[in-house]
Amino acid sequence: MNRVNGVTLRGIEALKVEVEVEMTGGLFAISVVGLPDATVKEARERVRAALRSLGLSVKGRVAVNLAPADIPKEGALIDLPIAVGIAHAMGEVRVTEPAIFMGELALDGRVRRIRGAVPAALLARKLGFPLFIPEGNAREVSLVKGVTAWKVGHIRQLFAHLKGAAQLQALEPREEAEENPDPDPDFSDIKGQAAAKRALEIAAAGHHNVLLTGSPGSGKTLLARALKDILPPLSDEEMMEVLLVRSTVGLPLDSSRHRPFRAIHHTSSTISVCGGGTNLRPGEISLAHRGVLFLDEFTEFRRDLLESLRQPLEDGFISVSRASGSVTYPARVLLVAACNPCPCGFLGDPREPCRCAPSAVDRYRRKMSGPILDRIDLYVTVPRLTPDELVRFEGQTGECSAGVRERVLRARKIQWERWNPLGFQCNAELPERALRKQVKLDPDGRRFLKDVAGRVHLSGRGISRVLKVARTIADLAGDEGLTTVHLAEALAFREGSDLPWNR
Amino acid sequence: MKKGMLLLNACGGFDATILDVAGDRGISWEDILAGSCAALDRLGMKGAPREAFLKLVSSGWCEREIDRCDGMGIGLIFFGDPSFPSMLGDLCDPPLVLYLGGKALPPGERVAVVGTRKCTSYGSSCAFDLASMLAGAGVAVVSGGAWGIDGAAHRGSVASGGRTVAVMGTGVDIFYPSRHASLFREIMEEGALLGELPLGTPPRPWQFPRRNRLIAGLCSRCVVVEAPKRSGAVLTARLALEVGREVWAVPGRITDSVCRGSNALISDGAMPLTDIGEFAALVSGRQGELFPPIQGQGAPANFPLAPDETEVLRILGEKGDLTVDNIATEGKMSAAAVLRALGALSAYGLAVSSGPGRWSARVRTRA
Repeated sequence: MNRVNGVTLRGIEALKVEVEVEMTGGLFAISVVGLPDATVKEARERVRAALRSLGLSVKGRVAVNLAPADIPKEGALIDLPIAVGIAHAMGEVRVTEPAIFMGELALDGRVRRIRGAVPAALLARKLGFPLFIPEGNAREVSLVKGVTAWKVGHIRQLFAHLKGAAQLQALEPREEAEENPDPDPDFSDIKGQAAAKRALEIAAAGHHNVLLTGSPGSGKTLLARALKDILPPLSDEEMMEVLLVRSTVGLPLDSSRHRPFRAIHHTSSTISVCGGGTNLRPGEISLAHRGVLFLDEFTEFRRDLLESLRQPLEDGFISVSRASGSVTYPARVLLVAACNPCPCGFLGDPREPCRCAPSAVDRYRRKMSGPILDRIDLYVTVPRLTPDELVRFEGQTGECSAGVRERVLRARKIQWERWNPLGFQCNAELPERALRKQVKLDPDGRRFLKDVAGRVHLSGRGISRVLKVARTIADLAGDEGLTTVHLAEALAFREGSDLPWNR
Repeated sequence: MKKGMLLLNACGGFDATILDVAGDRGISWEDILAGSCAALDRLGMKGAPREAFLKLVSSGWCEREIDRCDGMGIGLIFFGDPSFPSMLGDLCDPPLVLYLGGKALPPGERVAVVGTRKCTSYGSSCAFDLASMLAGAGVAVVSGGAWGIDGAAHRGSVASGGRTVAVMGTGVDIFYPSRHASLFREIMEEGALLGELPLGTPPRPWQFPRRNRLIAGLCSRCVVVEAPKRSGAVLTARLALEVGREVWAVPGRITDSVCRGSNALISDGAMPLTDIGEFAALVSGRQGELFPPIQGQGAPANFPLAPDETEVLRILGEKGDLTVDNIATEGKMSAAAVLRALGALSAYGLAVSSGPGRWSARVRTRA
């Protein structure tokens, strides 16, 4: 069995790559075969220089084979196994048992941080191989339990370890603290906006996607950012999923219990959002997995981009298929979309006059239609506070995020207990059929909904949304039955309640 | 003769006064339709209209137009026909031909409800409720089918099952603005689309002021809901005044530029419309108490207003444009309770979101 192994990434999965080296006489040359990409080919220079820094000069023809031969290999993380393979072939070190090496080499022999350490650690755990990782990746790998890993700072230390001269530092498995991260911004920092805060609480509790409509400067972005901190902290399993995606793109880990918050710009390409490219990298929607995906200036997004978000919003994962293969990334996000009420942003503002032609407002509104709106349950309008109101609300101390999160957690637990036998986790996930069957209204509530639906022209889907949101409101209050009280509040967030002044 | 009127109407700039000219000078319709140079000269037709006229005559447009009207179920009413609305005779330039889509022109009282396209929520809810109330009282509403106040007025009338007339600034088969296509179809079920321009005429800016004289002529009273200083609605009011119609205006905030024109009308002597119930009673000559309530407004029978809802309504009644925070502080309620009340009140048509995150009370006739 080949003892020197590296890894290459396919999606968020690491694949084992066996590194075989043959050295023969002749003029000096290193050739790498086995579908290496440009970075892997360039490894030749880095490896030669790094070995030279140890006083090892490579002579003759060196053939490096990366097996299996039909899988494309990408990334600089394969530098280290090639270096070890050459040293092994030269008889400089002895690799006595199969192991996985990963790391990018500097010309002076230092080992640099790489992306994909966590997937590699999972592979090493599965195969039962020891893993040699760059020091820079120690923190993320330490969160993977049950893997034998060694931290490598310089290739000299690694060779000393393999020769048995000096031990490398073994990686201590680490437990991430259970405590809740500090909210930033905290709910109590946001003055006024009681309606929007309540909407976000409902969104967090039932995992409902939200559309915030409001004039520029009303605080839509701030509210969206505050949402991530009233969501329950990541569980161990969720944290691993988040870690896996972040590691795959090489993002450093901040507080690992933090829910991710990703804001994407409306000029972003579909590939950057959904994933793809030649090496099938995960996109922003996967980086926001288990967290909040924020689309500011929602109406400015290209239609095909919004279209491509529909499937992952529904399924919680996204399949990226390209000529080079097909991978599946997790993509369970809470979507927060924000937009202005009209192109100039001041439609309906009590102070600032709107300068848009009626037909321009209509065109703008029409951009907001489309299949993605079907995935949005809460329609919230955010007022732009007048200076007078800002001063008035300044003194008030609202509830802090931690308090809201307590309620959200309780509501999530209730939902989990109710829906888990059916295979759902939260109210927003309920499909139409289950909703009609499982969400029971009292006779009063039924009459009320029937009467009101006719008056405000609720569509069938609109009624389902009101029911789902009302269910979450009841769960937040800890109420078993669904009554008119909950329905009435849900109606305040119904579709069309966002911009009825332009009827 | 009818063919002649249709042709003269189509080639631009001719109204019913041309009939008097033809009669006075003794020009026969045969000569005109034959395109005789002498006849056209004596009619005073020269330049572009004359060329257009000759082209239409030679291409047989007239027959095609009549066929098209038949095919689409559009009626043609000629000046002097018994069905021609006599009130249009008050105009100094009544149209030669009216194209009529939908049902016949509603008889009896007709009230024009006009205003700006860029209205506020206050304006559009006033127009809606006024039209709805009038429809309930059996009064037809005339307006221009445009964005904003016009559209709200038509909707209000349609919602209460009333008959409303949209006077088009395009051919009656061209739905402009196109977003109102479904509204126009609803109007045609009971009411009518009316216009003087040939079928297929696209929207052009100069056609709308001319259209306004038809609105002024058709109505017995003209109500301007919200209009800035320079606006078509103010022009309509002026035209209505010229033909002796009563002009009313809904008072607006003096700070809002969209209310300058309508407020100026009041200071110039227009009647201020301060109570839509009283106005509807005045127009219809019926007791206000007998009107059905405005469509979709009021709590359902089984669900009387809860104390919280009454309180929120009271607060909104004092002052509009309030955020949920304002209401919560004022009424010492939780945000959830305020939202609950607003959700119900907005569904009952008693409160309306007047801007992003701001709420106002709807116009009401009975407390």
